[in-house]
Amino acid sequence: MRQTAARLNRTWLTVLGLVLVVAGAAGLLLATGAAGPLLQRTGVGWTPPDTGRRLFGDATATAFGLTWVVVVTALVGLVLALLGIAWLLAQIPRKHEAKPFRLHDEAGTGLTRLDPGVLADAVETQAKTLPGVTGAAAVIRGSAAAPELTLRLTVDDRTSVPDVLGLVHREVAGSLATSLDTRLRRLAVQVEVGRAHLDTSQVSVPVGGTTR
Amino acid sequence: MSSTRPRRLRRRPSRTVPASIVAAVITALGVLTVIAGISRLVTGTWPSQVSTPAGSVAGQTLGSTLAVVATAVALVVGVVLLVAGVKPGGFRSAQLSGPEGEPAEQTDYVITNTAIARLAAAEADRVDGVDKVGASVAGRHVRLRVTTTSEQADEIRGRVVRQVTDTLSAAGLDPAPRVSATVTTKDI
Repeated sequence: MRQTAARLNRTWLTVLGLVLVVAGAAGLLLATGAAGPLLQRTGVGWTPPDTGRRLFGDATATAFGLTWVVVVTALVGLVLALLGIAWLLAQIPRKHEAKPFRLHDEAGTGLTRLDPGVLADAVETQAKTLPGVTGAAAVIRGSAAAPELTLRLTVDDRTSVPDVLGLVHREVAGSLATSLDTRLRRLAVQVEVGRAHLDTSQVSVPVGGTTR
Repeated sequence: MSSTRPRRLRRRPSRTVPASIVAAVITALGVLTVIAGISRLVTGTWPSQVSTPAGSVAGQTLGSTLAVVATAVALVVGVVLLVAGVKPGGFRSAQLSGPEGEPAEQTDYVITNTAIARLAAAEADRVDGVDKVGASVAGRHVRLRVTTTSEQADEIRGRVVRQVTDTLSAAGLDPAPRVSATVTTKDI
């Protein structure tokens, strides 16, 4: 029901994966000495470095002794750290609830605003009164003219799911639409089933007759 | 009606775990680089935690074992990330059919795989002769593991599969999942 950064995750995992695969494959070909014969066969006019060559020469050590190189390195590190933190923060699931509905927006005659959280609370309360429903969580998105209701319902394992959905559609969504005086743009319901439990409708009848 | 495609409740995995691990590694690398850089600017020398490993890496040749292992590890990690990014992954919920029309323009009803497993297990538990039951859902397949003390394992399996299939179909699962059960007779 809460929204996650699926597209962001998949895009960056794919990009980083591609970079690592290309870099790893190229490095492996160079390190094992397989790059030379391969490049000769394909006719590319570039001779790869010998496998006996040092990974980093004196030029690298000299470069990292220069102050401006150190500053650039630290800045690159800072950018990496900020990107990493931003990506980590994007993993927190978000409700993306609507901003307060503007029911009347004429500044001259007065502004009327409605917090969708209040409507969501009312929807949850009403949904919990439906037979078989043990829990409900609602989020209202969109606008006052085109509201979208997303509802997570937890039902008892003996409840008829179609009956509950019928009641949600008719009564809960109907009440919300009536209160906003508009059709819902979208009604989305996620059904969950609570853990089975022994309740008062089950009794044990011991052999011999008496009921406990 | 708007032409924008609605975000469906039935979604594929968002790859939060691999993304969090990679993001944490990137953050750690960035923070360590900043700390090392600032330390170099303040003291005039790279910290020994950086200069010692950097010195030993710089002394390695391109064909050294370290270089081969490092590039192979990069290749394997890259393949893992690529698969995580590209492979769609299974749905964690199933579509339900339900009422449409007024008062909503669009409707979207789903039931989580956990809920399907609980519905199936609860229904199987009501079948006479069933002692214990476990259920799991993978794709459109519901697997039940039933334990009984009865010798009529085949008959119990038939009743469990029939009753669970009827219940899930009646719940409005669209399309109805395939139900299978393995029945184990418990020794008395």
